[in-house]
Amino acid sequence: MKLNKLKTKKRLLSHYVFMLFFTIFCTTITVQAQNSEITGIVTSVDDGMPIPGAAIIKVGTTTGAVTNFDGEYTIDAKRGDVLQFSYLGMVTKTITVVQSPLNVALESDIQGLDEVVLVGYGKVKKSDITGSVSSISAKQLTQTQSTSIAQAIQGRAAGVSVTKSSGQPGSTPTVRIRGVGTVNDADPLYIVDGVPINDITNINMDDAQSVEVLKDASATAIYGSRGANGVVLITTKLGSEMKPVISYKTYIGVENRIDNLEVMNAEQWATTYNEGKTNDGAAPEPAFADPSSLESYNWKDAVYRTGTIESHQLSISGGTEKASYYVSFGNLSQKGIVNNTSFKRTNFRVNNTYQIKPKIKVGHNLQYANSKTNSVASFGGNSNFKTAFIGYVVDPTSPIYNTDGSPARPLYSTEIRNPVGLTIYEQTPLEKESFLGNVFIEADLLENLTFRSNYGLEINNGKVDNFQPAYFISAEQNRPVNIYNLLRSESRVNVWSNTLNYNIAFKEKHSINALLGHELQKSDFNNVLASRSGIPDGVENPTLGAGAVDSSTNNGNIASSSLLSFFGRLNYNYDERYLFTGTYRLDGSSRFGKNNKYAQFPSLALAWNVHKEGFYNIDAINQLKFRVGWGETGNQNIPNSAIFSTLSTSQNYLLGNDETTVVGLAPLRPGNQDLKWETTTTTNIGLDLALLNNSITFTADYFVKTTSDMLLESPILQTSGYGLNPTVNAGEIENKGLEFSLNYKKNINDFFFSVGGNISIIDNKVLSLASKGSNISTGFAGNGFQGISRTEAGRSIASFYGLEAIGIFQNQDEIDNYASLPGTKPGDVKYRNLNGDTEINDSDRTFIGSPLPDFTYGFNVDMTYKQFDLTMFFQGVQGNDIFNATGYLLEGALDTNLSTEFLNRWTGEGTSNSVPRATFDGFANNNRLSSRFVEDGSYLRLKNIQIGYNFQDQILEKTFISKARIYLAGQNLFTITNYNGMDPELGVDETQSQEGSRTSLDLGIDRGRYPSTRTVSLGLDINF
Amino acid sequence: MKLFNNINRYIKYGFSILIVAMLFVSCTDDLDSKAYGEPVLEDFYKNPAQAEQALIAAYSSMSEIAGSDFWGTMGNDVIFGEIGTDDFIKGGRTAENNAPLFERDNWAITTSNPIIEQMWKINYKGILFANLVIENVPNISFEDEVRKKEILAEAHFLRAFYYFDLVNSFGGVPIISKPLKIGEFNVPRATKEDSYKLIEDDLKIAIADLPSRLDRDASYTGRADKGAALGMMMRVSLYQNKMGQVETYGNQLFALGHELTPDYATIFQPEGEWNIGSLFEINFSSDASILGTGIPKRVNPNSNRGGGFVQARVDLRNEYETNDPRFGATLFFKDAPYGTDWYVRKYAWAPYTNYEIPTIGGDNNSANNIRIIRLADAYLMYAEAIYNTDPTKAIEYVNKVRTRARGTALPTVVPNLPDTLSGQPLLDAIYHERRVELAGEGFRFHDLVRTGRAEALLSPYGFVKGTHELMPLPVGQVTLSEGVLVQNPNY
Repeated sequence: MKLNKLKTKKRLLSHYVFMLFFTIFCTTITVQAQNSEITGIVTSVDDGMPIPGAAIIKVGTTTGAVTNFDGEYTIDAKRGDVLQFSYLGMVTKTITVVQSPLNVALESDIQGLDEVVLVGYGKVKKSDITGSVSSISAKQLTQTQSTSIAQAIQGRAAGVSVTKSSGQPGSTPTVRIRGVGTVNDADPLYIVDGVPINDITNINMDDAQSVEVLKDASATAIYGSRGANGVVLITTKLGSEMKPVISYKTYIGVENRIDNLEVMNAEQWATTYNEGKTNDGAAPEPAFADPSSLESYNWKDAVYRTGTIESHQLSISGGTEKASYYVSFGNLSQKGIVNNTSFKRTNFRVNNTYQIKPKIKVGHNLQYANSKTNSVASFGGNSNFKTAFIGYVVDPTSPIYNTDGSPARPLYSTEIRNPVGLTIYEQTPLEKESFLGNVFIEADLLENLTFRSNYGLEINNGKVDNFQPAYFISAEQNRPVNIYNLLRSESRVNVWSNTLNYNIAFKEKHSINALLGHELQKSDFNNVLASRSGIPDGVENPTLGAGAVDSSTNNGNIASSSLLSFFGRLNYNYDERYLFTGTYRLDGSSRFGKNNKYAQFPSLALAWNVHKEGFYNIDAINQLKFRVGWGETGNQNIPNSAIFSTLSTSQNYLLGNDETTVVGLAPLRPGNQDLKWETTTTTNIGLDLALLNNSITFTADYFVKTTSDMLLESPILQTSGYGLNPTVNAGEIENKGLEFSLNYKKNINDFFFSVGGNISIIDNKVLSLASKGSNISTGFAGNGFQGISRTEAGRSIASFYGLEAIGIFQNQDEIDNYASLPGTKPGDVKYRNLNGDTEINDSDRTFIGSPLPDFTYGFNVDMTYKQFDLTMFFQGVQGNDIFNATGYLLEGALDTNLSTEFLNRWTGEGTSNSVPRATFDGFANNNRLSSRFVEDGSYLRLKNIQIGYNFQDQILEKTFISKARIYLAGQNLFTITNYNGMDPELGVDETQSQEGSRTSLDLGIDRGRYPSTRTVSLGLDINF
Repeated sequence: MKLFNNINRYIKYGFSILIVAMLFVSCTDDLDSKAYGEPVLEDFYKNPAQAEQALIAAYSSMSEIAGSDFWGTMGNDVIFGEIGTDDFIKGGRTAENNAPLFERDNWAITTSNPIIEQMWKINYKGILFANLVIENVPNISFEDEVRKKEILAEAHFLRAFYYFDLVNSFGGVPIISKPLKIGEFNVPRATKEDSYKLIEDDLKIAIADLPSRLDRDASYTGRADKGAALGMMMRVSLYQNKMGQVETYGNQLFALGHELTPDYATIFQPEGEWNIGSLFEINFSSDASILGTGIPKRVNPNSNRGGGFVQARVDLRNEYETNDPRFGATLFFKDAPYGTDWYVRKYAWAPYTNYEIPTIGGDNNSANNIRIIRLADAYLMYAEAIYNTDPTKAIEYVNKVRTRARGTALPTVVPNLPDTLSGQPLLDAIYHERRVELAGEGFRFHDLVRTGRAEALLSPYGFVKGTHELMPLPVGQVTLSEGVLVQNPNY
């Protein structure tokens, strides 16, 4: 009965119980007290609101008091007495009296055992949880100025890895829960207020009340076919039954690039260039006769500027007994560190609940958001097409601009485009408009039986209107005719779920909570793309129609899928000692063939609260809980039409004297009507410990997560003639892991501090693939690098595959006595002759590194002293490799600029055994796909540091402001790493998600990107 | 009152259950899958219109390998095939740019070269599409039985075309002569002879059932016709050294009415497309249908928005006789930081030809048709086949080519071969003529290999006899076949 009530209601109830209890209690004892009176107000740190019903006890006595409805108390005590302040769900505070009034702010106890956490389609008391769930509170979420939810949870929960893929404003980081368990889409399922959503860019994290990450199958199996990658539940804020709170939060910051990479200046580069010419027996470049006289141009910084970020969030929340409201407006505006990149987002949210009848509640959570992203060209695998990176590879002797101020053609790096030109002429504006909302009705049908119906809708509309003018920089970089590109896309998710919840406690010790539900989901997507060229001069505001008809291109797609599900959950609790959870879900999906439309996803979990046992008598350990769980979840992320053998309608050819297009049709992929779900089976064993009155909490989990019947594009022999591989159910991937989190907190008078950390160790292994001996080759980085990563049975996914560089040939003798690689000269790279034959070739390739870390970790330190607070948050990964594909140019291509590492190159016997000589001719040999480009990608980063000051109440009393805090924050201020590229934090490369390549297997390849930023900001939070 | 409440509750309760139940019923239909925008295989190959569409698809792989597919186009004989010969170097911006082509340039071809993988893949794609026609069209009822036969004959021609490209590059290949199901694709390699047999059988059907385009209106242009099939058959026979066959099919071809177009310089111009002396071309145009070729983008100089690939060695330039007009029609000079600075004009753009640089669909959307078989080539094949048995006639055919080359110039320019020529000198003269007449069109390497001259002429550039006559099979395919596909020797 109590479990399914709202938290606010529960809190109110407990107020009364406490007040009643303490009023009776206190009246009996205050009579005896002969001391002076101490008064004060008890408030909550979280929201600054008074806490009614908080208990105050004079330590070592029976003297006590309880706060009234305004949080005020009076207690008989004198200076020097020690008072203890406590309240359910808050951290107990012990303070020595020095003055009266003595105002106390209590912190909410994030590890509180009686806290309620959200699980799928319901919530449970934290102490009753049997699965593996990480909660991240609003407080933790707002400690960093994160522009996306994913970024806000980075490092906060064990087993959740978040990596930023790009510093482009508005880009979405990569989130992986408990490793990568599939070669398919490995993104978790995001659910906002019960609505599964497609796009998290437009979610305003200031609206988030809490984020729960469901990790093991006993928690995620209730989401069945979409739960395999983990589930992130986001709950938005609700008003509470108190006077209105107006909150205004703002920050403004400046951003700079994280730049770990040094390149040569003109003198260094020109010297190396001519050394290469000389080594090859070619004539040196006469212009470089005196390298020291050359002017050095700073291409590296040519497109960079200081970025800015500015955020304003205004919210009003409140309520009465019968209604609550939360209304917010948010605006985020970011000017990127690369010229002409920006992101702007505006959000509105209205969350209301109405108790329309004593037993019926209705409500809605509605959000409208609009975002505008302006990005510059960054496409393909080649480093030299990535605007933010190109400046690093242009030779430093070329002027950036022509004399007339227009972008110039690089003189020696002729293959490289002028990045300034790209930022001017190759921009893409993308506007996204989204609606996200749900309406619900909750009714107490019978005693203990609640019905809830929730309808949710997400609409995401994307829009590109891009007029690109004609321009000419060089023969390589120009646009002979202008072009107008247009994109309209619409995606829509409808979901309707109905649940019945039954709660009963009987014979004192038994309690049952049962859930039965049904859900319908439909997703639709369509888009239209079109372009025209030749818009006449003088058209000031071009439209598509202004272009030449005969230049028009257009395209469009439709996709839709639907899911029909039934599910149930049974929680049984015996005497708070033994807990049982069982869930079951039946999912039917349109994506699968007739024979396998439906699949079942069961889970079971048990927990034992040892500390509740009669025999338990260890005082120091006040919580000891074992959990064990097992369950199955699914993944249905395959193309909607994978079951069909369809015919491509664009296998066209030109016929006739005038060469007109004739339509041709043929199948590109064999279909598979037997397709079924990918199933992930997880076994989880966990331990929860709390020591010394909950001041130390510890959680450990061990899991084995095996994905079987993986939805694989099974590589078939090309003799089949099918250009695309059929999707089949084959292959198994196993992720085994350990996760620990440990928190400690301590109060010493006015000083409060807490430290916490989490670490997760995941061992990933491919058990089998489509057929014996098959492998999946991924990772294209342009130039000579393709098939960088290989996924093969017995290995971790997407391991780097290539030759093993074992040194530098020091002299001709060494070459003569070694397996041959034509063209090799002293100073060139020596590769391991793996098969022991007489040649170095592709059969000497082997696994040369893994992008998966040994472990990932995060730790935070929070301190409060009087009005000051300090938060630091570190995040790191250890033991992963990065394939630094930018090295192709930076470490040996002499006509482009080089990394300063190349200054240590081989120049004669004994000079270097790792960096080869300068050469044009030997370049191809030295730059083979080899371990030379594999680097340790471990890093430790100070993600966030924040120093805040809370204005004293005495000062604020005279104003209309009830609470004010000012802070200074820094993000990514320092990084400890041995990595030589720009930035070791590499997420999924967004440019690789095109053309259907598998981004879940594109791991740890640095192609040069829009770097992450270092931000310093100043913020202000005010409540009225 | 309590009773009323209870009833009220039951109504609500019942109502919700009712809604839920209705939903289940209404939504199970929604789980039916839909394929948007594309027909499903089971519903296709039912009528003559669909037969035509299926046939077009079989043509489309040609434009992929010579136009739209990035590495496939790089692998075309006019690029990859010419590099590393005594005619051309890779060219490009630098010695080493474009690693897959560079491998061919110094004869260090790796089994993971993406070019050979695309060559393998796209040809088999064309073979599948042709097989689908050959398998399904016989079951479709046609009012026009002649057209039905032609469709099948065109498909046979195309299948032969793709197999021939495979045999030339890889030797004997797996023979797949009908569409296979999943699980049946792992077919071992056939011998070179058996592979050629399939090609010849296909071409025989094509020769028998195809009309000559000269007997049809202009709408037939672009399709495979009798002349194309005969020309292809001559080349297939020549590459197997079946000289008698070259002669036989040559005689049939020459009876069709094709002639050499008078001006050599116009052949590779827009007006030269499908001229009377053209036997087969792959069609390309530069419009919004994006069915253009990427070859000109590769071979134009850097300064003319090209990749600068395929630059002529001095050896080829010296091969031309003084004042041979074909020299200027074939090559041009453009100074660049790297390379020999001599580029192939045949697939260049303005200002080097009258083909415009594409303005729609990007630089890879060029309109240049790729000339596959020209009558001059057939004349020289014919001459080579009979030089020993009928030197006079052989000389006559070579002189047809030389006369056309000379054009309006004096007879001393590219003079006729003396009638007295015979034996090895005649053969050498024919070899010379092929080299200059067909330079840059992708035949030199195959000519050197089939005549046994490759080792002598190409080993200075890294060519190794016994290895480089054939390209390696793509290593991924060999691995995937679990040993069924056997790699070519020494790779």
